[in-house]
Amino acid sequence: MNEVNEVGQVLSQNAGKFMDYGLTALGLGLIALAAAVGIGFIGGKALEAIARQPEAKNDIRTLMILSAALIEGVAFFAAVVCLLIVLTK
Amino acid sequence: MKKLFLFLFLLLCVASLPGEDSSSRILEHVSDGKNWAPLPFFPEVKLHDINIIGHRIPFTKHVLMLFISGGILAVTGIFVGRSVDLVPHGIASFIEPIVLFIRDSILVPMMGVEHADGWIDFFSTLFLFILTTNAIGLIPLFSTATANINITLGLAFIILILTLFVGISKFGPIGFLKSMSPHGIPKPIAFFIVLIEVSGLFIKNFVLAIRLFANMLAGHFVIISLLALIFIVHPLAALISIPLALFISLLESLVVLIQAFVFTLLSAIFISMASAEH
Repeated sequence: MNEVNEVGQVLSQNAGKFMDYGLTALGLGLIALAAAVGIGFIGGKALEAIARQPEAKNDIRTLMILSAALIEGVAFFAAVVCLLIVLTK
Repeated sequence: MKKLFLFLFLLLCVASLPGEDSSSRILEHVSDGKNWAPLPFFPEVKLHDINIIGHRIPFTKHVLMLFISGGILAVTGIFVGRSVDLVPHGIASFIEPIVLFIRDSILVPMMGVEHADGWIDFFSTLFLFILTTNAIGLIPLFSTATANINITLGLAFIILILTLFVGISKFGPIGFLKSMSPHGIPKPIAFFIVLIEVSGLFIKNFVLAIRLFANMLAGHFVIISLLALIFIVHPLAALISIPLALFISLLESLVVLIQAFVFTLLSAIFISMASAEH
């Protein structure tokens, strides 16, 4: 019982020290989730459009890659800001 | 097969890391520095600053990479210029579809058919330079110069200056500000819209720089972290690390192309928007 108490005390004393890293990791996970949802949506809509009109394949492919790169740009921008907060304490 | 050899080569490069503080030498491959370690067991090349008339010009690894990619482009340009023909031969048959693609997919939709030919020089140089500088980083001898925020900020600064130059030379300085606000909107809202548009001008170019920088840095970071796992965790992790690093490098070669294209396309959009009436 004493050991459990001690472990609990050590854990609760050190809980605040790594909060920055934990929240940053959570934030980065949310960024990845948002980027994946956005790009997946674009990919799905592009496939639907190609299925409707196969002659427009090349135009749709170019626009799809452009939109994916723009969304990834936003995700990377947020990731860089997240890492900046952690690395420059 | 060639990619596998390239990766074993990169593995050898990482193998010259010491065992204990490999985490500090992981970043050495991506970040700037005064030494250039081209091949694994060869001596490092020490780079010195250039002193001209008392001014010190720093000369680091990434600057050397910029010069190398510029040299590659210059040599390619000389050979392409020699074989200008209706049907190109040799290296020109590789460069010509790229330039035509830039003209037909980027310049003609943005600037119209009559102005597109005047801008081909700048945009094909921009695209080929960014492509070469990105692609060089995939070869173990060299390092990615665009994984340095200063270099991408410099490129975005050029685009910003060009945007302002095109806008001001067409409208005049006051007219440029006026072209940013729409007509027929009450005064208080128009003030905020001008503020948003002007700050948007700077923010769009800054995000342009960050997008290229973060894509290049993230790709190399993942590859090097995966390969350094072999030394930090256990040598048997090589069974997982090397195929993963191989596939991520294949993805990276696609990202290199896409990021160069997106940079060129967005800078064409910004320049054409600066000379457009609202």
